[in-house]
Amino acid sequence: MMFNEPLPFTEAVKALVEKQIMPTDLTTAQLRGIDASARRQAMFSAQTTNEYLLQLYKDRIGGILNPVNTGPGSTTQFNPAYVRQSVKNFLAETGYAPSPDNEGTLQDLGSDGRINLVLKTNTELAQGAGHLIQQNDPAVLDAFPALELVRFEDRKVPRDWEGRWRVAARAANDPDAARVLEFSGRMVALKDSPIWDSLGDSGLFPDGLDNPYPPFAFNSGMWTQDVAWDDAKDLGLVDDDTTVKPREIDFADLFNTKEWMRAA
Amino acid sequence: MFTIDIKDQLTPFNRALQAGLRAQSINPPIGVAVKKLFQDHFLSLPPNRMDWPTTNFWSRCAKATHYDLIGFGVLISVSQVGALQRLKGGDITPVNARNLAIPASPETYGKAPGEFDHLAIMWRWSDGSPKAIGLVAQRATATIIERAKSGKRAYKAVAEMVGQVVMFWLIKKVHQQGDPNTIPSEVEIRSVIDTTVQGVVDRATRRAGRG
Repeated sequence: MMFNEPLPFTEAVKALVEKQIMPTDLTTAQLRGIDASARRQAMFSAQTTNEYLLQLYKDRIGGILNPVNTGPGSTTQFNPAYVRQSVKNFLAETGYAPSPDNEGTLQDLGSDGRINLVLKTNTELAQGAGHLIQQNDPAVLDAFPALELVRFEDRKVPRDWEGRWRVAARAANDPDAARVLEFSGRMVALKDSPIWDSLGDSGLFPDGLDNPYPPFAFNSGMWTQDVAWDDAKDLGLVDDDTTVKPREIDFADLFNTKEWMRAA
Repeated sequence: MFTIDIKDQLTPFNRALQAGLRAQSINPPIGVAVKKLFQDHFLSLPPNRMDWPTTNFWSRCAKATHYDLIGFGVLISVSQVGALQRLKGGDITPVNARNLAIPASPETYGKAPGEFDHLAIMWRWSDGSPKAIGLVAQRATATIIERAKSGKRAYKAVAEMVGQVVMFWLIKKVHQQGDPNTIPSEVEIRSVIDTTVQGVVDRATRRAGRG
């Protein structure tokens, strides 16, 4: 049986909706100086001090994550092209103009590159958080105890993800993850491995987003997929006696706003 | 966006129930397995037919695929606008606009007309009245001049050529054929479910056997 109205990706939508708007003058590098859990809870865009623009992004991204028809057959408002257009229209109405040096660059709030980056990053972060929660279900862990880092989108200049995996495996003290890569060419690790924290660690990788779920870096084409028990066993990650523990997820950390953020 | 309901009358599921397993032990793994099947399927689909720079539509479908547990079953949802249209097909008509704007070049693929400055409407006469058929961008101009036969000026402009590029075609309606290959086949889905449930049963049986 097929239905026309899907259930929303509740966990992903909640991850976005709960975010507080935080206008900021901080650059991306400076933003990373803020605790990762605080950044995770806020809707940031570097050096975007206009809270109305941030609210516009939040509303539009919410529509992309959970498209709801508001009229007969009308879904264009959830098309990234029209979201870009609404952002550009807003900026034009507010009289925004980039400096000559920044025009067309990522520092230009109205450039395609900037808007796409904000849209894509925040949409995917919400989806990544939602998938993390589903992957962490105890019944799922028993059947799918591991995750694999795989490429979902091609890039003209891809990052060296195998190199990053080796660095992250060392930092996480997970020799099994490193071994699996060397012997199978696959980037697979148990779900409770600290490597999933290291992969996005901005202390290791300056472009990291400091989340234990994808995207692990800005404009990354990589994602994670569950690995079945038999596959994990063949890779030597589990045996019949292995129990993979659920990852401790602080939902208040993932979705709720700390008191100091509310006060701000 | 669409949702598929996986019913519980499948033989493997019944075997699991007979083995004493409950729905909450079986359904989440089914959800994950079918979600992965859908993701792999989307990622295997070819990009746009025109071979223009991709908008990563199928990757977005893959990321937007998730499962929900409802009642005694599992729902797989793909919360990505456009996915159901590709699967079922149908007519696409403009909403809050007079025409659909169809990209006419790689430059405009995945973009909206409002993102471009200074687009002009291309008109054509049809049935005695002008009809808007496209949006064009003026890319170059050239002025044709010739020597003046009289007057103070040595040369005069006699014509102007304008280099225009069609950025979007304007049409009233598009009919898209549905493509059942947009999603995995029922045979593939059932096979994945069968394998997943059998795995759950086998592990439960082994653990029970070890006491």
